[in-house]
Amino acid sequence: MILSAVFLFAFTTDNRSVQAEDGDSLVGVWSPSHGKAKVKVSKVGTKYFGKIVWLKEPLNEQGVKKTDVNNPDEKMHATPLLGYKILKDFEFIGKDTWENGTIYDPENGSLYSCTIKMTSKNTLEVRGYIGVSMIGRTDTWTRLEKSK
Amino acid sequence: MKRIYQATLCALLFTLGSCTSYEDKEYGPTEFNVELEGGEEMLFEGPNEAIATITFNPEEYGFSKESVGGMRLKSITLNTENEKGFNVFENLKVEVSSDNTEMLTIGVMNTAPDGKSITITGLEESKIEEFNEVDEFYLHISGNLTEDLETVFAISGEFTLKVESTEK
Repeated sequence: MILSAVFLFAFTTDNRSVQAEDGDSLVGVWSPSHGKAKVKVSKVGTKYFGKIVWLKEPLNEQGVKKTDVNNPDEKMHATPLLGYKILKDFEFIGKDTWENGTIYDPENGSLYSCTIKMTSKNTLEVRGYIGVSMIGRTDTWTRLEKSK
Repeated sequence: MKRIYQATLCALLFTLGSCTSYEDKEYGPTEFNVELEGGEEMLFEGPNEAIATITFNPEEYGFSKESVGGMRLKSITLNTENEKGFNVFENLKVEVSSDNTEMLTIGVMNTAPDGKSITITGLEESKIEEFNEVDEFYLHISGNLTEDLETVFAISGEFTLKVESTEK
């Protein structure tokens, strides 16, 4: 009985320490399900940010590098999509979940509140929403590079 | 009658509270040194970034942290000793993040920069509110390299912020 209690304690403690380190498991390169881009997530301070590091079609119909033409802010229209930070300000809240961040969709120029849930070591459920989390869309992202 | 009086008082207090009068103070020039983050003396074509960690200490410039409201970038000057200068970039962007505020783009140069010293003017409409909650912030300088570089790309620079303060 005592032995099982000790074992249970050790297991619980160990589990907790793994979870504490898990915030950085988001760091790495990820691909959304559409496969049109690769997003590199890195940590700055206590938050996580993700920028586009690869585009399947980097050029627009005129053969010019794609820029943020759909942004409601006209000053951003000439900013290249490559390098664009589309994930911002994510905080690790435990239970393989990052919250309080935003995701930007360059295809329609919209900014959404976003929650990221790691469902396995190499997959993320990225949920973008406006207002309440219940109304939104979830996409599955796949890891392309091992986390550091 | 008492309710009308209370409602009027609340409205008056709300109006007074939302009419805090701020004055723009200059924070800077503040110097920094950074290197583009990348591999060991190897930078690849495409998105690259340098991040400077800045301690926010308004007392140094004559006003208290408690008095601070919003913050904008006035200007930032970037210098490099790299032989190709900033011509190896197709664009440059300046963003600020902190543990207490949301990331915001505060300066952009969407044309190819030229030379070894460039100045970017801040975006007037890009203001970070409640900057008084910030002890330390991160200045992200990013841009797309037009070619691979087998070198460390060091940037020195200085920036000046326009910080709102209730102090006159």
